[in-house]
Amino acid sequence: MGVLELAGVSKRFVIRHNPSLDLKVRVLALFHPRHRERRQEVWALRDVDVHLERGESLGLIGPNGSGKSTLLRIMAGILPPTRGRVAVSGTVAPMLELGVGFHPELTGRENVYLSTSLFGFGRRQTDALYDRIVAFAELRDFMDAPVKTFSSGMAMRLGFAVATHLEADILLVDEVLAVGDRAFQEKCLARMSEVRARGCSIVVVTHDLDLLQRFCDRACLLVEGRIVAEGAPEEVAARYCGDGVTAEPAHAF
Amino acid sequence: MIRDLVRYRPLIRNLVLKELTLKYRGSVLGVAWSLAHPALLLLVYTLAFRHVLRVPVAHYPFFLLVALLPWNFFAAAASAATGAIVLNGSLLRKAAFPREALPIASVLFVFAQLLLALAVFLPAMALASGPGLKWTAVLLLPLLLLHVLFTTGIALLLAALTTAWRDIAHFTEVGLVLVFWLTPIVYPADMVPGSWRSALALSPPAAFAAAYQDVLFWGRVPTWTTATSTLVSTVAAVVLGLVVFKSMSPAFLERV
Repeated sequence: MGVLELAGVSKRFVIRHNPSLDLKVRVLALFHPRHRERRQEVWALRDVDVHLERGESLGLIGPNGSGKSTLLRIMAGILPPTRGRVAVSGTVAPMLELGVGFHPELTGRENVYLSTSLFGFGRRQTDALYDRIVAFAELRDFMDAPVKTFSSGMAMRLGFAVATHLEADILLVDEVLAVGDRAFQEKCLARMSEVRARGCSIVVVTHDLDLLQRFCDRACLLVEGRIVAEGAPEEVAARYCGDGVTAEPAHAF
Repeated sequence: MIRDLVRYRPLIRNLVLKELTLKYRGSVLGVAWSLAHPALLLLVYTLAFRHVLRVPVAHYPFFLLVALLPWNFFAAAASAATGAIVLNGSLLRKAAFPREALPIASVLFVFAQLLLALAVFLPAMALASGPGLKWTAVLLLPLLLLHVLFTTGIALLLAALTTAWRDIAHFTEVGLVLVFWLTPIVYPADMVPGSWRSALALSPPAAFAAAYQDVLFWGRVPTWTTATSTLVSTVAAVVLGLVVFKSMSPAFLERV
């Protein structure tokens, strides 16, 4: 049994057109169908199975709106699946954004403690990681300055450092490498290889097929919420380019 | 769920510290603002109710103080709670922490300011020539505990309901003004006409106000009715708040 097991996972979203959350319209709607909100159901994921081994890195590719981020959120426990089963053994560090919970007015140090506590870390647990986080981010002299004074590169390094030092069993990465320069990307890839070598499993969402082939052991291609291809990164990448599946899905809004 | 909250205690503490830091950092008077605000309110109400409307209570500023500070805590917490979930969508999308942490932290942030105000005003009341403080003041501790739990229950309820009906935020603002004037805080309960007084017995805010006035101002143990009312409304608010919040939280991400 792997560290992460998804069986038959489906996710339905209800899109409310003209979302009228206000009471007047709701009362009117009781008497008059014109005021009733139009609801549309969208299946963001349909019957998805994922199996992840310890120390394995899995790449998720697919066009915009194909359900990649939704899948990561379900793996992270942020969204409940509508159907299906999710079994996680171990801890999950979702990196859906660099610097989750960072506030510009707080100092680098305060933000590190706030951000780690969003993932359930206490003060002492963070104390034990703190020096390594700062060393990776190369911000030793800046940790007592407000994050609003950081350059975007500095803030990204700090956010990445926090997420990859949580010592989780599973690291979920959503497109965050795309925003940095070449040096940042190389540094991050080296760090991700390092945590993988220690047994951490990694799921990466990316549009960068080069990165997919360099870093991932296996890849899944998602189209309109279904996994349509799975296997070696080269083959899945070739399938993605060859099939012309880059077309926007029908339910794009 | 309780076990989750215990594990995420550092998160709640950090969220409270964050709000306190943001509130006071960069402000010259800093913490003094948390005292200046209630002090000015006391001044204004005292002018209006002792000198103009002539409410017949000796040591009126102290009478006002002991119920007004806790009311301000409750009102600020309830009002902040309506935004605790709907204004934090980006955080909810990025991490899987227990959602209760957000409204709980917003209550504790305001509660910290109540404790600060009490820490300054109560010693002043004990030293000044006035009603002083009797031994019953020790009952303040269980009373504060009940009040913070009651407020947390209401906060969970309001935070959850606002995700489905944004009007709750507006209702809360108006409702708080209404309840404030219907609650014997600026006037004593015995000025209320007899026929209304029985209705007042059912109001949790009135029970809390009476309890604060009893233990801090009148120096007496609250009546059996007051004590029961605060206890029952606390249990009811916490249970209702938790049940509603728990049942609505899976859909938060689709509504914020």
